[in-house]
Amino acid sequence: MACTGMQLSRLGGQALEHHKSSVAAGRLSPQTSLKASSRRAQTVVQAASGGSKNVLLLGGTRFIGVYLARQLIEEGHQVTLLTRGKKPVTFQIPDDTDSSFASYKKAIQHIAADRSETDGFKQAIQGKGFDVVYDMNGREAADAAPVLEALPEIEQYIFCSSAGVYLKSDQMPHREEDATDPKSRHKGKLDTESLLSEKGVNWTSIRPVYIYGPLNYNPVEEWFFQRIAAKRPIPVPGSGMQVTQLGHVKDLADAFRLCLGNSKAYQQVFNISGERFVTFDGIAKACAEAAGAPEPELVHFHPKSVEIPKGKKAFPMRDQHFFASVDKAESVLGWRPKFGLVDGLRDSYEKDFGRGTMRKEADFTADDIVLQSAKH
Amino acid sequence: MSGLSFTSASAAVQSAGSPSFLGCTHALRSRVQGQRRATQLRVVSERVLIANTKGGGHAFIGLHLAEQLLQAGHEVTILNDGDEGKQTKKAPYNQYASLKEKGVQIVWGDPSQPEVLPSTDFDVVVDNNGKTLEVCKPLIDAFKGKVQHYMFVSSAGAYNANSVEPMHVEGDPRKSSAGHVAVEQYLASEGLPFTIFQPLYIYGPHTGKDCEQWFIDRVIRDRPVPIPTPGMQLVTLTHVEDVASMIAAVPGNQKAIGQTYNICSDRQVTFDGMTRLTASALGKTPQIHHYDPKAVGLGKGEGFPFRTVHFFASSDKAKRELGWQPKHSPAADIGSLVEAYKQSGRDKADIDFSVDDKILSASK
Repeated sequence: MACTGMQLSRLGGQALEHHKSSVAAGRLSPQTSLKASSRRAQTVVQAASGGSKNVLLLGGTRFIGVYLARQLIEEGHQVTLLTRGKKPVTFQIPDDTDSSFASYKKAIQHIAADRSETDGFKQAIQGKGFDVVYDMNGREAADAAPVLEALPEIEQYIFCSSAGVYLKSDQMPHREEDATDPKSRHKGKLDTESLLSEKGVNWTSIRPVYIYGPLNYNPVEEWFFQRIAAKRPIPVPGSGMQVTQLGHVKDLADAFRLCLGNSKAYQQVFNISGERFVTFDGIAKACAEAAGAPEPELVHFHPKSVEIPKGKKAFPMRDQHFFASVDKAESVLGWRPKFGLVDGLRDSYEKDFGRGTMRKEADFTADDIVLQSAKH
Repeated sequence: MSGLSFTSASAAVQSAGSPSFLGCTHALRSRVQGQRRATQLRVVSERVLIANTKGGGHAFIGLHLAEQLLQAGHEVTILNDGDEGKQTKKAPYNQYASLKEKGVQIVWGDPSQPEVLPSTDFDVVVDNNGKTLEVCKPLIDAFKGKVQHYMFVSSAGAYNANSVEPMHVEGDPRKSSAGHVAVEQYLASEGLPFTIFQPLYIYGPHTGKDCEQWFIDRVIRDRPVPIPTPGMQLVTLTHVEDVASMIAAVPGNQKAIGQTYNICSDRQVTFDGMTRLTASALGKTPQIHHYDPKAVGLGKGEGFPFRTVHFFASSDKAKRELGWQPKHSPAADIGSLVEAYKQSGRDKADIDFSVDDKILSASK
């Protein structure tokens, strides 16, 4: 039952703002009843008075952190972003309303420091009373070590790792207990997890698969949307039956948030991504559907019979099955993704890529090579 | 999985009038109100009828289910289709003698003619026989209004194939023309307290249908393994004990009524991967030969034991709602499967490789 203007005006000021911004952010459907909305507003108040944490977010201005920081502030926690300060720390995003952004901007705090300048970095974060660290941009164990040294009493260390650490396997999906690949290009993430485990801190590691959503700086959905916008055929390696998995960034942020102050998350690894798996052919079709475009022409090619110049990619994803089970996070954290594939891609399209805002200029060099070879 | 539940004896006696409690004189039934805890012994004994098929991949579910139900303290009767003399010469029915020794009653007869049953005093019916409404309807009609729980072992094969999101999840569209689907709809429209199970391919002891054996036949004889291209199709292979344990967990579980569950391992393997696992267990190098079944001119189902598209499903719903967990996976089991194959002497058997040869010569 949708909230009428009259009903909305009966909500108290803060609760009303909260309701509006939650609807705008897609966290509440406009049909959410007044009752549910006031209940949520109550949660905000409770978190602020009872379980509020002083959170340090390393990173937080590019992608996941942008959503996570907003969610944490909304839950009533104190959040400090740590960046080098080279780019604006707060900027309005499509999911903000003017007023929700204004309250976010007012609440969020910032420390300018460079993680690679260890001494200055440690000094900057010491003595600020941080309870919990979210490490969103650490790549190597050496990035995490100074944080632990500077904050030996930290209650919890939540780390953004990657499902890319799993060893390729004939048996799928990847589960948290599976073998990891010491030769993976994400080895630094593995080393960080080991360090956290050794140090005895209450650590949690989140392993996402392919992340997508508004503000994505990796060419996942963007690659498909560019070809769809240009009405070009979409090159797909091999059979197109490769199975992978896309996870919406807001669902990922949700999972990170649910770890906070949750002892069930201590010393645990969680895969986080969409509940359903998708084929390469399927991503192309789903992106077209999300963009309101007709079903795309797919051109399947043999990766070994085309020569792609170095630095260019014929396809944005690794040519293999790559997907992980998320049932551990669901049963332990009570997390469930809210986005399905098409509605998630539609969210990304409508709030970002469909507005013509691309991170990179479209580059069809590799496509043209593939299409040429397919003619023979 | 099992819950501790006692009723007061008086409650059981009270309902002595209704047919489903007639058996309570020979079964201890008591239920205690209070919190259910995770690990407890089941004390409630149900009288279970398993209608079992006379062949195919589901045939041995009845055997393993009967064993697990017995262990859980239930009374089990199997109504098995087919002719006793003929059936008991082969797996899984050649194991029924041992079931009888353990107290399972076995009646040989056509489940679509439930009049063959000496009595209809059952609390739970499991139809592991029919695939069409014509075959299943008489049994449903015979027990409608009489049983506390009616279970139907359907098939995940009735899901529509989905080339975008291939994993089958409960609630996904099913083939409207499938016989199983008509049965499912009838159970719902007739208001039975039903639970529907959707298994995929099953392997394990005493099976009536090949699964991993197809791969072992070839690898153990150093033959190339013809795999429909591209070979990366994912398939769920589930151990029969995991299939049986989900069904066995359900009698007495009110939450399962009106629900449908995929029964399958939470792991999938690719066709190529299954070949590699088999080769590794045999200490051999896999010889994988990809081919296009259409180009070779094979009939449907010819030349390979599985569907040639992705065929895998999620069992997360059963994990969440029934507290069920699979204990097996193909990678964990392949060693013992290979051993069982060798023990059976099948490595010495003459296998017909004529279709393989046709494939190999047509697709050089």
